[in-house]
Parts: sequence; C-alpha cells; structure tokens
Amino acid sequence: MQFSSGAHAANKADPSKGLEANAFVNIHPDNRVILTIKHLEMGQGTYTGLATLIAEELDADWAQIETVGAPANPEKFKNLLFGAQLTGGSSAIANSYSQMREAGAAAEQWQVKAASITVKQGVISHAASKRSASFGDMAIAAAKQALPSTVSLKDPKDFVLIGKANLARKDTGKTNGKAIFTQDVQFPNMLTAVVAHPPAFGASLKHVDASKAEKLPGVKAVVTIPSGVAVLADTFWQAKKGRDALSLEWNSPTADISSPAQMAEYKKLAQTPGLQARNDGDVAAVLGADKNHLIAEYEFPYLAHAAMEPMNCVLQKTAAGVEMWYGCQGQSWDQAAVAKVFGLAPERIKINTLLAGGSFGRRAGFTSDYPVELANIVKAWGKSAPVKLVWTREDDTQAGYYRPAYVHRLAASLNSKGDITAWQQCIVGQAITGADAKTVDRLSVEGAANLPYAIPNILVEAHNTYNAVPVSFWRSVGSTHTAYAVNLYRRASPPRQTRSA
Amino acid sequence: MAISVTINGEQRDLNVDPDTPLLWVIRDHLQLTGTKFGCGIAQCGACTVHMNGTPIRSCSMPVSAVAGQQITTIEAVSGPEAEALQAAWEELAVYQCGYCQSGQLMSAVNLLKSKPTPSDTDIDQFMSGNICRCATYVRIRAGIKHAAAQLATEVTL
Repeated sequence: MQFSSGAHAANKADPSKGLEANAFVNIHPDNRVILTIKHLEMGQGTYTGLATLIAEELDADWAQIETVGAPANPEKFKNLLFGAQLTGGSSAIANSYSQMREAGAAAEQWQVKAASITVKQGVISHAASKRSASFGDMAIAAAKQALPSTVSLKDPKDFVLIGKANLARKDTGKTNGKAIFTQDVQFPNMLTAVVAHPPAFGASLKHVDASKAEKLPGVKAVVTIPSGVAVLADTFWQAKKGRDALSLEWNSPTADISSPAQMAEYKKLAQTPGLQARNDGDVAAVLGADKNHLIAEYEFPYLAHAAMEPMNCVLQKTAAGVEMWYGCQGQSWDQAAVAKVFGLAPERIKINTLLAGGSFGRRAGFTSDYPVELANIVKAWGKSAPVKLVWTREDDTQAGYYRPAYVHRLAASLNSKGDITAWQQCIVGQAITGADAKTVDRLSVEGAANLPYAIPNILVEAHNTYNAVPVSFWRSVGSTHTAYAVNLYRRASPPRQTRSA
Repeated sequence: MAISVTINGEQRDLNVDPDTPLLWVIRDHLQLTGTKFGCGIAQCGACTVHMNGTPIRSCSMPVSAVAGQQITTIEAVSGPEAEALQAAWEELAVYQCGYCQSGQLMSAVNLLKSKPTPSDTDIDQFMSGNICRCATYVRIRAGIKHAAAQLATEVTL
C-alpha cells in the first residue's frame, strides 16, 4: 500500500539531536523513541493505543518507546474527525489509525531506504553483510537525509503489535508517584488559587469583605472574577483558609428551580408534540388503533462526572503570551476561550497537555469553564507568577456541567406475532449543544433517533428546555440515557420474539 | 510553629499552621506529589500514606497530630509486598487514569502484610476505603492476588 506521507514536517535544524521525523515521532541518538500523543490520556489508554499504531509501522522495540502529550497546536494535532484538537466521542483510535501508522512508516523509511534492509524490534539489519544498527545509531545520519515522499504500510497479516495483547502501558509512573497530573505541577514562586463560587446556579456576587482573609498568613491577594471570588496564597491550605475567612453576600438566582418541579414540567412536555428527530411511517395511526399499548416514563437525574482529580489548571503570563499546564481535553476550544480573556491571538496561548486523573467528558466543554476561571483570576491579579487553580471536591461537585436531567416517554405497539409495529419516544431535557427551541439537539436524541431495530413506524421527538444549571458531555453522552430508556422499556414490554426461552 | 515529622526516613522541621493536614504538608511543603488530593474528607483514600506502617488518610490528619511519627509515602514505600504489588500493577495493567493508585497501593501493602493470602472478601473489605472512579476494582483484586502468589513463591524458594 502506498500513501502520501501527510504527517511529516520539516526536520529540525540540529541533526545531532536525532531524527524529528514528523510531528509524532522523534528518534534520539540514545535510541529512545519519543512519541507525541495527540489525545489526552485520562485513563482510557490512548498513550498505549496510539503508540502501538506508530511502533507497529516503525518496527520499533516496544521497550524503547516513550510518550509525551501533545501541546496545543490544532494544525498538527487536530482530531481528523472533528477538525479541532479535541479528545472525545470515543474517536482517538478511529481518527488516528491511518495517520499514526503513516507517521511510523515515514520515520522508518526515512532511516532505511534500501530494499535489502530489514527492520525488526528496533534493529535495522542488512543480511548480506550481516551488519545491524539500532534506531539511535541511525538517528543523526537520518536527520540529514531528505524526507521520503511516499510510505508503504504493512499488510495487516504482518502485524506484531496491533491487535495483540500488549499490557505494558505507556502512561508510566502511576505506581510510584512519579506521574505528573495537573495537581502535581510545582514552580518555586507558584501561588494556589481557591475560589468561592455562588451558592446557587444563576446567583451572583453582591458584596465581599476580604479584610480578614487578606491578613491571614500566606494569603497574597483576593480578586473578584465573573465566577466568584478567588483567594491566592502560597499553599492550598492557606488559600482555602483564606476562602473560609471571606465574608460574602450573594444575589439570589433570577429563576427558582427544584428537581420535583422540573420533573413535573418535563413530564407535561413529554405528552406534547416535540421537535421531530425521526418520523418513519405513521406511528399515530398504529398506536391509536392499539388500545393496549404500554406507556412508560423514565426520569434521569443530573449526573456529575466526579473524576478522582477535581478540576484544576496552572497558568502563567509570559513575555510571549500565556502558558498553561493541565489535563487539557479540548485544546482548540480552551486556547480560543483563554485567548479571548486576555485579548490575545489563540496561538499565543501555549498549552502543555498533562495526564488527567479521569475526566468522563468533564475536561472538554464548550465554555472551557475552569481554564477561563483561572485566566480571569490571573488577569484580575495582573502579576506574572504561575498560579494553580485548585477546586475542592465540593467545588467540583457543585460546579455543574452535569449530564442533563431528562424525562423519556415511550409507547409501542406489538402485532399478534410479537413484532414491534410502532415505536414512539419523546425526550425532554436541556440541550448540551445549546440548540434553540426550534432545533433538535443531536446529542439529546443520540441512540434514540438512530434506533437500530427494524420497526416500520418510528417517531422520536425532543423538547429542549432551558435553565441556569450548566450541562455538558458525560461519557457516551446521549446514549447514557437513550440506551437505558430504550432497554428498560423493552424489558417492561418485551416483544415476544426477543424473549429468551 | 515548628513541627517535626519524619517523612520517608528523613526528619523534617516544618514551620506550618498546626491544623494543616498532613496531605498538604507532604504535597505543598515537601513537594512529594505522589500522594493525591481527592476529597479532603477521608472518603476516597487517594491520600493514603503509612504512619508507623499503618495506612492513614493524610487529608484529614492535622500535621500536629503526627509530630514525631514515622510517615511513609508512595515515593519511598519499600519491602517485598510493595515491590510485588508495584510489579503486579504494571504486569496486569491494573491502573487506568492512575490518580487513585498511590492510595490503592499503600492500602494493599498493608493488606498483604497483615494477610499474605487474602480472599476476595478480605480484599473487598480491606480496600473498601479506596475509591477508583475508573472502576479498576476487578484488576486491583487480580493485582493483589498476583502479588500474593509471587510472594508465596519467593518464600517457598
């Protein structure tokens, strides 16, 4: 197979440091192969998975592979399915599969041109002369060579890594305390920021008296920001005690909401025609003719992500712009959002992507809420020391960006053979995408509008609701509630052909 | 106020507020970041360290309460149990995000010291204070059993 090598970039100026074959592969003279992984490692194993794809085509020895998270650079590191640098949608392997193999193959062929040369487990051999060399031996010479214009990929039957059980993970340092998460970033003059957020969604700051907090040991500043009041101190504990010492008054939220009232409202809406996400055949006619059809309602609560590592971020103003260090899941979004706070071009926001202690979707969001909060703190403070924003567990749980609460209302009709002849599902809840009242939110109906069963009459409808509770992606997003409701309903009213004997 | 604590075999004289939790002394004052902050109220176990060999939740232990005690963190935990567990964790790829695993390992070390061949029930009971949001519990259990088997082999040899 021949592909044009789209992954390669110009080699770096100094060949003595080895072969920087492309944006993803760096071969050092000491024989280490450092791979830049474009997707956030949050436990899903992307450092291992993407490294496998590259190492396969590079014919590297698995033991010589090391990994590093890609910095923000959407041009180089974008998700090929989304066109933005973003980890999500279970797409890391799918969008990278050919790209990473081509990057590995290009790096191998850069080093090895002659057809009589073979490469296996990181050893380059010439059978006729019985000579061999490591990647490191060739790295400096290869760096002086021209780029290969095309690359060949292996026939899948020749795979030695892809599809094989390979348990040696490449997100290392997780059994000896050496792995660096956002929470572990340390700089000598760094301050920690802890924020007092409003006690209710939609509430706002009325008045703050910081005089007691400002006198506490270690407290360096108290600043008011759009999302609350931040206390900056030398250590976390000093910042937290500073926050506890703030005297705060809040304006009440403009709209009062409660879970029982919300569920009652959603259930009423579910009985009214909504936005049509799918309409096959004539559901109304079939259901209308079947007096025995079962109607079921399912309630889904708001869900917090509750990653083990509460949200956090490190940011410093620099001469060039801004530099950040954290488990960033949506570099394109965060770069743009933080740039807006500082009035800078997005490329002046340098993001170093670290390991994340879980995310479950929380670290990717349309509003980039916690990086923007830290940007606002540093902007309000105005100084150039690095600042680490630390949310407590309580902050993390109360901050929102939950999986939305939903009501599903389902009805179906069976014929005498037990086949489902009509299926109606109405979904009521907030639109993660922010869709307006006339537009179907594709994430709310994901897993329902694309119901895979062969049913002649299907009607899937949705109502978008609006309130102050922030909502966002949560794990498999729409399918966390649609698949659950569909399968609960099937169990409540099982079509006869699906019953087990 | 100066407080003296022995951490990883080294006596450290600290000038901190006595109510500062041991966790934040370890992390912010001593820059040992392997011990994690997860909840701050002794509910998740990510901050587990050893005090005189016994696991404690460092987030809820004021540093003044551990003055003069021997504290060990993930960076310095040692001995056959720790080594067998760390090796098993890598071999079986026990971890996912890894954020809770320092605490899981610190608890597991103590489990194997007190019960060298734990049953599933023993493991579930002893490890119940250590939460893993990635839900690696099945592999944590397998890792502990694997380490126990390795240790038993070593003893036999």
